[in-house]
Amino acid sequence: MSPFAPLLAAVLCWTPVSEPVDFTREVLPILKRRCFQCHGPRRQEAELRLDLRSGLFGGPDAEFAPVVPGSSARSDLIALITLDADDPDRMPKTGAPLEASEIETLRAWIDQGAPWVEPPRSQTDPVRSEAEVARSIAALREGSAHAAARPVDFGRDIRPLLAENCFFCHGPDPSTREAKLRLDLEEGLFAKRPAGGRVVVPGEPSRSLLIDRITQTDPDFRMPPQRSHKVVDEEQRRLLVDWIESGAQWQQHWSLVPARAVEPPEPASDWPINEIDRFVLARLQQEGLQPRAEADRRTLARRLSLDLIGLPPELEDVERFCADDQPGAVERLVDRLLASPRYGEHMARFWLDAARYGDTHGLHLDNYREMWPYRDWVIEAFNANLPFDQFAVEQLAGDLLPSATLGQRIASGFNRAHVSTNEGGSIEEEVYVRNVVDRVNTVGTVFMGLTVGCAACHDHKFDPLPQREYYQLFSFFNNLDGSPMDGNVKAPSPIVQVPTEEQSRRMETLRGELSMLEAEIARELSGLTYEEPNLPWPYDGDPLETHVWIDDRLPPGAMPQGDELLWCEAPRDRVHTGRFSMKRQGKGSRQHFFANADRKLRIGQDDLLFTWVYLDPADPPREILLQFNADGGEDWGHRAYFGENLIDFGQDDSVERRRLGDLPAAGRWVRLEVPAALVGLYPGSVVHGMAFTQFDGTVYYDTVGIESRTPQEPEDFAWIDDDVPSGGERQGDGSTWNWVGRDQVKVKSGLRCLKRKGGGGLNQDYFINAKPLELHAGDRLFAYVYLDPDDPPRSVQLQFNNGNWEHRVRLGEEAHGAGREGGADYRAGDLPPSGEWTRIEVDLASVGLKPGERLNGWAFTQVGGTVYWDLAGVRTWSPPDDRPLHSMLAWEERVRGDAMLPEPVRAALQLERSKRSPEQARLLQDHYLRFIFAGTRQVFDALESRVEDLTAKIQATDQEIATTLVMRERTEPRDAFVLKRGQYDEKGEKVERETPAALPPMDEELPRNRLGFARWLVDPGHPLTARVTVNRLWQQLFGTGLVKTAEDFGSQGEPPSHPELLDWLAARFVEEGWDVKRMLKRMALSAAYRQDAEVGEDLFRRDPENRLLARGPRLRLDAEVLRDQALSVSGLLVNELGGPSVKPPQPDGLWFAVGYTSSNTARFMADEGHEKIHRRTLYTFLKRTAPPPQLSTFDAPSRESCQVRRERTNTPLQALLLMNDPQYVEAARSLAERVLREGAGAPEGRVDRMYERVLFRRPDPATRADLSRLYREALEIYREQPEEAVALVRFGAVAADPALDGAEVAAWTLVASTILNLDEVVTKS
Amino acid sequence: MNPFDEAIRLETRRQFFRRGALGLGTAALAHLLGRDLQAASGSPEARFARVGGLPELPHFAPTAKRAIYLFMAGAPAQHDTFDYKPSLAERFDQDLPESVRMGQRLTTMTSGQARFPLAPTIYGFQRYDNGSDGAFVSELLPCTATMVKDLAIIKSVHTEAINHDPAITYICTGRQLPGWPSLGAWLSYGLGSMNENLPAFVVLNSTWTGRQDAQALFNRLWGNGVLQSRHQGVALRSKGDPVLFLKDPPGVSRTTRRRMLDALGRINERTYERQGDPETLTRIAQYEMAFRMQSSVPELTDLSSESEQTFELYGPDARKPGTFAANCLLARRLMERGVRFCQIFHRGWDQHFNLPTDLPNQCRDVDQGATALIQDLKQRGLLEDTLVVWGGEFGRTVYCQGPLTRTNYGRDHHPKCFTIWMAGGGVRPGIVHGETDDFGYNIVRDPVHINDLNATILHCLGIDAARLSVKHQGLPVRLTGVSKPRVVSEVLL
Repeated sequence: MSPFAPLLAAVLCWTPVSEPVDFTREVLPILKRRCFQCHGPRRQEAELRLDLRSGLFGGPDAEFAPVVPGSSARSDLIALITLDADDPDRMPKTGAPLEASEIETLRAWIDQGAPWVEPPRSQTDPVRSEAEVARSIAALREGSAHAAARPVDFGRDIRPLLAENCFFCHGPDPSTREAKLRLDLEEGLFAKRPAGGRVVVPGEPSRSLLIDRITQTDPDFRMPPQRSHKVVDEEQRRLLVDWIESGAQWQQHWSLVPARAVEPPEPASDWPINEIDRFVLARLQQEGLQPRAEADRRTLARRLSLDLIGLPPELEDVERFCADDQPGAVERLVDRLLASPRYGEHMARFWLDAARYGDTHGLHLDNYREMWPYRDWVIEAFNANLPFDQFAVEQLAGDLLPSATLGQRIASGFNRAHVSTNEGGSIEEEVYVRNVVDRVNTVGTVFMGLTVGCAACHDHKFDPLPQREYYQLFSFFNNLDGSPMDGNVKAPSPIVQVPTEEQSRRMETLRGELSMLEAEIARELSGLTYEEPNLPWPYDGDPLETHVWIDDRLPPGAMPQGDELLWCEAPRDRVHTGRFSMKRQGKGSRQHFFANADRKLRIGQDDLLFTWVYLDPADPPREILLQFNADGGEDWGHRAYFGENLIDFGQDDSVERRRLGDLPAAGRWVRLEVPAALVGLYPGSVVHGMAFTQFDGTVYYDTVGIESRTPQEPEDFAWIDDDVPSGGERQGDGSTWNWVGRDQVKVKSGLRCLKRKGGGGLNQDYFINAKPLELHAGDRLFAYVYLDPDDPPRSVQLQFNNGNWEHRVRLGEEAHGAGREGGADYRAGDLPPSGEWTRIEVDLASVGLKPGERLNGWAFTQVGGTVYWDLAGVRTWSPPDDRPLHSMLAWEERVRGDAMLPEPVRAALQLERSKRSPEQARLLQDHYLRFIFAGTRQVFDALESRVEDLTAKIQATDQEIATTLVMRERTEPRDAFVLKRGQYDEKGEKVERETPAALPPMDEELPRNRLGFARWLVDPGHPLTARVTVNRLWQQLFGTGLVKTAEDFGSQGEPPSHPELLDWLAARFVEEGWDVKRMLKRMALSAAYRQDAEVGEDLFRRDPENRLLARGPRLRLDAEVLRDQALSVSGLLVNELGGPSVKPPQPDGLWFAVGYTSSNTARFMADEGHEKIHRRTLYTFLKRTAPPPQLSTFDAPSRESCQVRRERTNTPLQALLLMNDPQYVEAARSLAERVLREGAGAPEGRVDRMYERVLFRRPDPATRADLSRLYREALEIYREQPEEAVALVRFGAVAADPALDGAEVAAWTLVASTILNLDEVVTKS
Repeated sequence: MNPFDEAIRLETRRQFFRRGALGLGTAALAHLLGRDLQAASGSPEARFARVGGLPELPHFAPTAKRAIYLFMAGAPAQHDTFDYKPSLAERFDQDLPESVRMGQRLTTMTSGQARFPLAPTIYGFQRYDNGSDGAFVSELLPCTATMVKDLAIIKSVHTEAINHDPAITYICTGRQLPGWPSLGAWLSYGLGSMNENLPAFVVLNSTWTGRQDAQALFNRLWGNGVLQSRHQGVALRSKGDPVLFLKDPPGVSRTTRRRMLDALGRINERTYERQGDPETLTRIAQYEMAFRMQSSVPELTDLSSESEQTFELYGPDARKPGTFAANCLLARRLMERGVRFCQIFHRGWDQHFNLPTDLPNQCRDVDQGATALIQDLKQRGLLEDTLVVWGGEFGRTVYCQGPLTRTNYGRDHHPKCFTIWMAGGGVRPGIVHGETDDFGYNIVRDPVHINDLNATILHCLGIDAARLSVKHQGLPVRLTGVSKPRVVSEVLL
């Protein structure tokens, strides 16, 4: 900020003010409202008092004058209030800047000479005498109708009040702290203030500044200030007064103090069944309320079943329960339910909301994520009643447990279940931080009930968690040994495989078969011997042929480089053949060269490279060096020289610099010869370029070439002809790899060709994972294509895989993978003519490939039409050489150093033949005979195809085995830093792993890692974990937790309705070994839970949310329970435990409407078959960016983030779903059929049976009448319009029972649907 | 709702039921839902009487009662549409000066590029009279160009997110991570509905003709986050039932359904008598509303009553369900029926490569429909209290992604500036606000953060963004984040 800015602002904004400004009426209120708080009698920030004349006009030193009468431009007050908003010195420091009109008033006042009048004390100093405060207190008391019902409790009554109204400015966060005052700490609350007095004086409210400040009559001085929009109302003020009067007992925030099991009260009543009831009743009696009687047996049976296993009971079980008049009937029922495997499923679904489990990644592409083994682990853990402490430890750190079991590793997926992304353009560090933050926040919510996430960006404003401590927690979770990006794959590492028993068995069998086969192969091999064929080389005996490479010009495609190349012409100059020769003249090292010629030299056995030279006798060179470039890259390491050793390239006496003799005689043309092998050019090598180097002198070069038996043209190497190459896995759209023979079409090559009749859009045949085909410089990829003239495609395309598929060449208009980020999509022209075989050929660069890369897959793609493909491969100067098939020596030469070979074979090959051990020699020979040698193919090909077959099966089984995401630590822990404002790239101070200081310290014995952290969480002395957990169990049964904010036990959460009960339960939970079933049983058996749910008008008025528990729970069922109930009562439910998620039908297009087009979950395809579509809702596939409407319509979370409490809404969309969703209609019909099959009878009897099947009791007569009438009306309609009946009965995925009368079924379906929509049915009561 | 108010209303409801008035049907039930009595009178004002919402809202007199947000998902290129930079033409293929980029972070799609060659637009721009200084519009948006007098074009919107998922989540919900209420959910929560037969917040997803491999949308973009699920946007579908499960199953006629609901209502009423749970009453009312929606929604989506002139206005696409133009027409019908907020999503604007192939198609998709919507609203007198916003989640780079030729180029994501426009309900028409540098890279005048944009939208609807909050995990959650956003008063009347 420029020092002139205020001045400038003053000039610009100055307007003459004619009216004189009145100090008392106009100026003083501004000063009072905006300045005196900090610069008044209470506080003298910067030792400045603006309420005194001396301060206002003088200031603490002469340098500084707030007001200079007559000159607003020189007054620092004006300067400071007109600074930029983001200037840290701008006044006032809190609240909005002064209004423009206020500034104008002050300016005008100063410019008018700043007349000052002594302000009355009440305007400057809000300190009141003790008597005045006492009067305020008395006034407060007067307004109170009755005395406090119960003693004030700091934790229950006072701390929440302070937290809500005061902590923002006087709490843990120093950045917003005012007046250096902390009311969240005991020291702060009872502190002596610098300006005198104490905040709270126990027993003396009238001497407590707290009371003074909240009872100020002047709103400018009253706390909390107006700008905070907070109000401490009269009732709350009275509470504060009462609390101070009664001695001002202070306690730590309740949830941070370890739970203590206080003795349950003993209210005089025989209502209580267990300790829970004694707490509940004591409270009810305090409130003057009576509990309700126990609900009737049938209601109770349904409630217990829905709450403990998430399913309605079987009618027969209810009858048995009702008939059981022995004591302990309820307990027996509860035990039965807790022993059911359905219990674990029901419990799991609550946990999965908290663990944010989903079947997709949740961000961007939102591809499939395979993680259901984790879901199944949770189910099994609940069914096995795994103690909760263990349950927690295994999920937080199962991977770190000593000799962790598979189950424990699966459990550690809890910390991997967060949403993840692989969006192109993402910055890895940012994503990494986001993932860790999600882990920390989720652990905070689920186990600690703390909103730790607030402290990611700044110190927590309400709870004792500084930002630094947040990042200490962060450092426990930041060490995943895997990429933060999910790669869009279903199993981003680290993962584990989770085979089923059947899969393990199958794997064992297959491996057994494979080892037997290996034994058979070994037997075959042991009977074989190999002799190196003493045969001539295949080309031996043929004469070498001369091929000229350079004469009169460089080979096609070659660009001369280096020193300027001079072609000189005959007859003026010396030329050996043709018209021109190359001439070079100069001092020192001189050269010209070229590389990457289109025409290359192919090297064979015994080949000789030659160059004709003419040395000028008047100016002879001292050295000539010929260099050859192999393989087109930087490989110039093939040199031969003649003469002195002056040119410094390569290592002496190696292929890099081979001396081949003296310089030839000058003055005549001489042929320099270089045997290829001497300079490291072996059969199969390809020469792409050449360099001519000389030291001093004048040299003519002409007629360069090779003597070779190898044809010097590129060849077509057929990679795909009649079949895919070895190892290739055939895939594609629809019916794939449809080979047709000569009988159907003229084949281009071999016996058959590929035919594809394409649908409307893009479709293809392709393979991947073939044995790689190495690409060389100058290679061109090709394939033959034949378009059906009667059904031509819109376009055809070849696509190549070198690890990815981003390499395409296309003919025709339709773009296929156009514009895929980073991919080559090369349009080579229009569609070829149809009715004939056309060759498509493309160079590597056009499709984004490079020499040295390897292809392992190839796709034949088309849009529409009928297309034939044949003979595809590479046109190359370096075709694979087949001599190794006949000679082991040749093979050894070829494959030495091949990294793909098994390690022992590779090691043996490294040794010279004579140095190999007999075992190594044998190993090599076995390998050669088994896999390579042409003479033994007949024996081994058959065996190998069986090996391949078995290996494929093993691989397929391996692929089939489910995987799940787990945690694994990096060996070197990753550093953690405080991230300023939570920004991933703004690292602050480095931090170490520590638990928050406000909680009990971590045992020294514990390891400083996630495992130690997890053990610390479940230490019996930890104040939060047990409380938070039993509270969720309570919430599950009673609908609302004892702490309503199940996710927040901090000072902004709601305090518990029954704090002693919560503590008692938490303490018992720990004492009893974190036994979840036992805790649930205790709750379920309590009289409080068993009460009748009738609400009643008075009670509703008194306690609308039923926090006092004077009645039983009555709540709408959760999404999952609703659907499971409908499936269960209709007899459709398939009770199978675990396995991959299923996709019951949902309306078309829900995924596609939002999905990324190339996501693998872009299109929803419903499963088919009763056994899949009627599983429990827990198993429904959850796509997180478009969750199933059956879930989201009924408040189930999308699982994008952790949620431990659901809302319960009541909307028309729910009504539409329950009435019209085909699955619900189908359930109604099945229920109708079920009742119809159960026997004939009057409609009333059937109504009774149907109603009973759902609600387990008979309807009242009016209801029976209503439903019977509906049946009769409907039947009449369906009898008249039988086609309507058929339509209704046929609706849904499961066939109707043909034995039943259609109109009957339809009419009863309507009745059943009505019942399934009844308030009582969608509600537990 | 305050439980005591609820209890008092319950009193009324009980008396109502004791009189056995269920047969009175919809009007009485509407009353149950909390409608003002005057609402039933049928006056035009009463047509838009409010159901639900917060009692303290609006905070001040709104200039718009409802709003339409035309969301261009994928991020339209500002250089080729509104932000005209003539001096770029001479700098074809020159490097973006480092003094302009200033080390700004890039997506990893182009951060590895060896150079950042400037790609001037290949489309012609013209200055159109907007009643003040004129506005430049590219030839790709010929219809939009004709209505610049109605628009406030803002060229200086900016954000921090540089990838689609976080950015679109950010502008729609105020945060980059999932889990927070969307703009429409806030409006439903704060202002309630003006038509008890339709949801307060409706979402329309459109087909598109540009780049087909388009960025995803997510249900969270119209989700309720930490608000109750009844505030989430209802996506009207162009295929199948417009509202999920709206249609009765085959074989269930309206009469049959009515009889079923009568029986259901009677039985539920007795349940209420016995149990006294007010939720039962709400449930009865919701079933009745569902029944009414079964007629009101098909009536809404049936365009057959629209005139020929209207179809001419919106263009031939308007007859194809699911196109942007058809959705614009539907949006107008929604506004007429008192729907509070409608968001139309149009995908396919992510032109990393081959911009000249795809962008013209994208523009053609939306140009006529958006223009027709504004004109149609105006003709019907609805524009003055209907706010319309057009824009995407961020901008695109001035430099080329991938190969640059005279005729082909692509643009990467650019968070530092992009262009949107607003019109109607309280918006100052015929102005251009904000300015970017000669490269269309940095903002040089009047920056508008996306939080400011959202605050401005809320402001038009009578809401102070800083005061519309709910408490979640102890802290106030707002659409516009922690620091106080600035209402862009310059674009308001």
